Amino acid sequence: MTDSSAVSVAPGPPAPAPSGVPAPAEDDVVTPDDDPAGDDDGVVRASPRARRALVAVTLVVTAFLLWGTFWGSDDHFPFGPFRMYANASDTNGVVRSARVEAVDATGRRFKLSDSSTGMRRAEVEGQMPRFREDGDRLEAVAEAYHARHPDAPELVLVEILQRRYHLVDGEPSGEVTEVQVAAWAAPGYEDLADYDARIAAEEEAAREAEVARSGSGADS
Amino acid sequence: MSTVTVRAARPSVGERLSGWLFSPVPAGRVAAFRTLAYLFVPLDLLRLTPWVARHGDVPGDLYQPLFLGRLLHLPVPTEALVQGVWVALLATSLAAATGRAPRLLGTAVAVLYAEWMFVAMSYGKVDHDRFGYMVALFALATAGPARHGEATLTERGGWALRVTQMAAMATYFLAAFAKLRYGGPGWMNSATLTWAVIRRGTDFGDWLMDIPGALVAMQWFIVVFELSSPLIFLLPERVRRALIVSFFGFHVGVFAAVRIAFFPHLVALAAFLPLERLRPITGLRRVATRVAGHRPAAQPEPATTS
Repeated sequence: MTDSSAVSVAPGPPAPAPSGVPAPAEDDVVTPDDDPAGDDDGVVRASPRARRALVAVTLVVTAFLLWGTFWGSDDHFPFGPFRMYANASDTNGVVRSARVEAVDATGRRFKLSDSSTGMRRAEVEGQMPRFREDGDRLEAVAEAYHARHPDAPELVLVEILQRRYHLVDGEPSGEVTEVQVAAWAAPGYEDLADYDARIAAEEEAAREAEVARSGSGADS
Repeated sequence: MSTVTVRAARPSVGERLSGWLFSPVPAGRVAAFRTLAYLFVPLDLLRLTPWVARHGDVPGDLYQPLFLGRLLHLPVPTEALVQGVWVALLATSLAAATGRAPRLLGTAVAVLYAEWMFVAMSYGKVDHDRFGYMVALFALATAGPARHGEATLTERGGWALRVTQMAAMATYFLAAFAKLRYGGPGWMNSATLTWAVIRRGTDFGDWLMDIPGALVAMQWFIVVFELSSPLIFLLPERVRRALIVSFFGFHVGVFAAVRIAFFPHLVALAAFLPLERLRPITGLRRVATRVAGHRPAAQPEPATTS
């Protein structure tokens, strides 16, 4: 960046330091008391060379940032566009929200949180096209879970479920639908990945429970 | 207070811009900002973004390197790499916060933090709250030595604070153009904040959503606010500082509604403030001295007070 000649103490404003003025060592703290020029104005000036270098850095970084804003993408971090919440959501569209669920060898189904796998929800969503293309990529999420939980029962299913909240005139209409975006199942557990079959079975079970409850209610 | 006026002849536009860019600031302000910026690193590592360290457990298959990561051939993060960077960053930031060896330690922190950010952002999601803070870290490494409370004015320190201020304002200003680019001119009337509140809302956010037009009005406010942010450099110092304080309030509001706080950006914003006036250690010492000074008089009293 700059060498030790970058700091010089000017004898007075606004002239740059004459070459004869000794530059203090880099880590010396310059105070007016040890100012070699004596009649200092109390300002530690940057040498013309340091100024040129720093102006050049300022211009280059500014140019990168402007380029990134108008033509770059997130890939060009940290010079990409500041696109936090930059997408316009359709006031009569849907709001999508994804989550990752898993089933372990004991049959337990649970949500995989950010901290249980090391993948944030937004990261799973960011890589969603890759997962949609090939659901088996979710096996890596299972591996990440096992790296963090070496003693936990083995995962046999990892799936991404996406909830869609429907909007009418910019407000939630109350209609919510859910779809399976991608799934990976361990060999022998492929049936678990059949989302429609699972939902149908759950609905069937709920209906049966309802019937059983009303039946027992009639008995008593 | 902070602009250099050169009386000789009439300065050219370039000279005036350069004078503005290097407006000297008290070295004490640089020292205070340095300590603040470097102490943010342990806070970030331990409390604010602990998820970054968890990327060490994620298989390399899910690592999607960013452009600069590919260009520089940054290694695929492993548990060992992530832990190594974590420890090195913690150690160097704490050392740098003392103000010693500002260039060496400052460069180490800036480079390590940049690597940490590439570990953070290379798994499918890039955050947009870091630019000003990363600029501050690299700029502080060039700012030269500065002691707490030192009144000497420094031009290189002035540059470091100025470019941090510019980066913080660019984060607002250019965000408006990103909205135009990705959301189009209809962004202001869109359901974007509704989307945000549904996804990660709070009670405050839900309450706002129930007020007709409130979130759309906030979207208009956000764009007007972002587009006018560079004007802050044209305002008198006193007004500017008051506005910066109100910016902190704006971010508190955003946090209350969608639980997102742009913490590193808030650190960068502090580059606008006369931080040299905050002398917590000197203040404590003064209090301690006063207490010690009064002790003989106070001794007859019972030693136990609640």
